[in-house]
Amino acid sequence: MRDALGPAGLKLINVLGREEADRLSRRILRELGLMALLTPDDRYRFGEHLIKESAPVLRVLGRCIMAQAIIHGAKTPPSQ
Amino acid sequence: MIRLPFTYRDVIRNSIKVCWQVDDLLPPDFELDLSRPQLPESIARAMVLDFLNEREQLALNHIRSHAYMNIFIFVEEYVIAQTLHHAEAELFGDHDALRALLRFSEEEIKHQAMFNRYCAAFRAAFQGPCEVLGSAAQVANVILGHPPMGVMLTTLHLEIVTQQHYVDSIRDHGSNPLFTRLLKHHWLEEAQHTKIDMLELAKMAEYAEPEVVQTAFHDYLTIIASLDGLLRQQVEMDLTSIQAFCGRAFTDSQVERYVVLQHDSYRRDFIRLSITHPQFLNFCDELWPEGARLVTNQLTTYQAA
Repeated sequence: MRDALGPAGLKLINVLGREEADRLSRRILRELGLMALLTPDDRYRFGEHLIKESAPVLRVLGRCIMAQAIIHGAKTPPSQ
Repeated sequence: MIRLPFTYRDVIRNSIKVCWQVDDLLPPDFELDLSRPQLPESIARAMVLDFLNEREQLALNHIRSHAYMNIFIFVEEYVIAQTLHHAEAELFGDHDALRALLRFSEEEIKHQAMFNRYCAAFRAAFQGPCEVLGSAAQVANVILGHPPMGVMLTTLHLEIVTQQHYVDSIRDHGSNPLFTRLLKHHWLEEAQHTKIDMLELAKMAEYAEPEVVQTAFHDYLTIIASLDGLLRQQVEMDLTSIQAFCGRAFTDSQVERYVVLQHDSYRRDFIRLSITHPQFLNFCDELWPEGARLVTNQLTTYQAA
């Protein structure tokens, strides 16, 4: 699963451990209708989804994934 | 994928080795000795203005040294915000990159503190007004409005010039040893920052779509054109300051000559030194060969007629 998430995968595993990272990322990918995070835009959407989770650490993680996606060229909505 | 002969861990190791404290270079109560030039003549270019006498040329050198410090305070404002953004992106991920970027931010804040201390001592010692660019946050806002890759290319550009400034100061035996020491210590840390810039840019290029890399070069050149506009404003401010110091208004032809020569000098110091620097051009070539050509083509724009 880590390969399917690009650089976001390492962050998820570091914070949640491999098993929980796997479970959470599969769920979010399914909700987003994605098979993998292939582009910075995909990772941005993944991070955006993550900040809606209830756990504070996941919200921080979501912000970091979004920040990294922007740096890697994600096209953000005008409000960002 | 761009391969670089250093890692974030190497940069951290070097950064610890070369680290310095502001108080060691400029004690809090230090007084500036304005009896001799501060900047090397190759940076200030005061002596070519033969309608100024020796005392006035020395004052222009001092005015330029104040503006020099202020320009770095100015650009470091956006660099700090940018590196913190890049550090946030590495949280929970690559801890070496995170640590290198946080050291980078901290060092830039320290450089601002050092330059601010110099400028305060300058204002206490210099006779007369000496205006400098004053809207750092506004400029940071404009630069940070561009996508991150073009901003990072700009940062690399600005950090590379510090190396040549230090080399200039060693070659010029007339320049002030204190100023040479400041340029040296600034460069020592900026040399580490240029490596981080390149590591970040290489990573960005790896993940970004090709058009993002291409846009980055156009953004960078747009930012450099804005920088040139700011340098031109500083030339006008310096002109006002030196006329106030001399106690006379220059003739039209002297003003014209002053603006042409001094603008060219600023362009050399802050634009040409980078866009002709082999390390910068080679790295641009690795990012996008056409981009390196675009950069080289800019030389005619920023070269004296």
